[in-house]
Amino acid sequence: MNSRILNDIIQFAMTKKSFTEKSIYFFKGLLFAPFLDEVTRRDVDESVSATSQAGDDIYPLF
Amino acid sequence: MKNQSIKQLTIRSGDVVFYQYHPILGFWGIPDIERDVCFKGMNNNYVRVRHNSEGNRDKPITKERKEGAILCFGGSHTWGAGIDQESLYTENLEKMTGKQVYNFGHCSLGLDQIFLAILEKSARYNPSIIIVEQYPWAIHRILNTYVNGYTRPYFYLDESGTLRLQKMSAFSRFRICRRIIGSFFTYRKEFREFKAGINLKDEYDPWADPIFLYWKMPFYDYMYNLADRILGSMQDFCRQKGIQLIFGLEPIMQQFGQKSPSALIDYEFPRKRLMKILEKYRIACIDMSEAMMIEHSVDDPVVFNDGHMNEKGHHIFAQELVRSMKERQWLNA
Repeated sequence: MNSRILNDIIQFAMTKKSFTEKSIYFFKGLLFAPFLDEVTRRDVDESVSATSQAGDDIYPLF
Repeated sequence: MKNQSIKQLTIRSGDVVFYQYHPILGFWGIPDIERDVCFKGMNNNYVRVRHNSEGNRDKPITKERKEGAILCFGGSHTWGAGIDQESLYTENLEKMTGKQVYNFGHCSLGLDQIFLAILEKSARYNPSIIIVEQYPWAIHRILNTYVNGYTRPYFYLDESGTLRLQKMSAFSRFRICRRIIGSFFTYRKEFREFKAGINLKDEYDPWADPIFLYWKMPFYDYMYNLADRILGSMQDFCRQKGIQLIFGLEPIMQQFGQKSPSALIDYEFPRKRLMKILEKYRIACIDMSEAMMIEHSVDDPVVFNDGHMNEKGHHIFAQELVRSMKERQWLNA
């Protein structure tokens, strides 16, 4: 399994409040991991989208 | 006095009492169902909801079909959440135009399902006009592949940017399969949102919905691109068939409430993006915001608290549609 996806799955599970929820989300993540590849790929593709390049206009205060 | 043989029930957002599995559209209305319904949070009175033999909240289907019918598609507003059937904008339209008007509105229907329903229904009803009611916030439904226990057919853009349709899986007819497929779809959606710093499940606040936030815009770029292609295909289809297509966009709940607390939160953002796409394809569109806001007051509102149009709202919606269609000379034929 891609370590990047595994890392994301763990981080995602850790955002859940209770231990039970954390466990469920972790195991679901492992189960669905082979199908989550495109999510990570899309995330990389969109990291420099046209809108995000407009950052200077959107966040004039920063 | 209510008829004792008709069941009374109270429903909340997301209840699927009136819905069943549909092999092409994911879900559709149950035919010939009739209930007296109290819509929680909208209207404390009981409202009679009756579906015809095709599962639509409309008059019984007759064999006689006039030429040049008007087909209305949309979500829960068109279906008529919270109001009597006689007050629906579709009924108002029929009275105002004298044309045969069909209501194909259903709760939680996405723009993608509306497009598929248009393809299916227009072949049977041969309409001259198609009206699509769209609550701008609901555009996000094209990203949701699992809704209220039902999987949906959905469109996506492949690597070359071509619009593709993912049809319903044959397994979706079984509830247990829908739950398994839905579990994956739900996880994938939440995972995508997590990666974009969005948490709709645990921290949802309608006044700070990420769809209105400027700093979350990149996440929704894909959604608007997808909507762009779907609307382009919808317009192409209607042009080929000689059907006039018109969109009616309601004001959203947030526009009636408090002002945006920040310049970086824009409640009109989904509307603006949607209208830009509609303009691009020269699809007729009426922004109902102004007409609705003028007529709205605390004592005499045009919407319920949750943003659904009430009787008055439906009447204005129909009036604006008729005015626009007359201006375009679509009602002369």
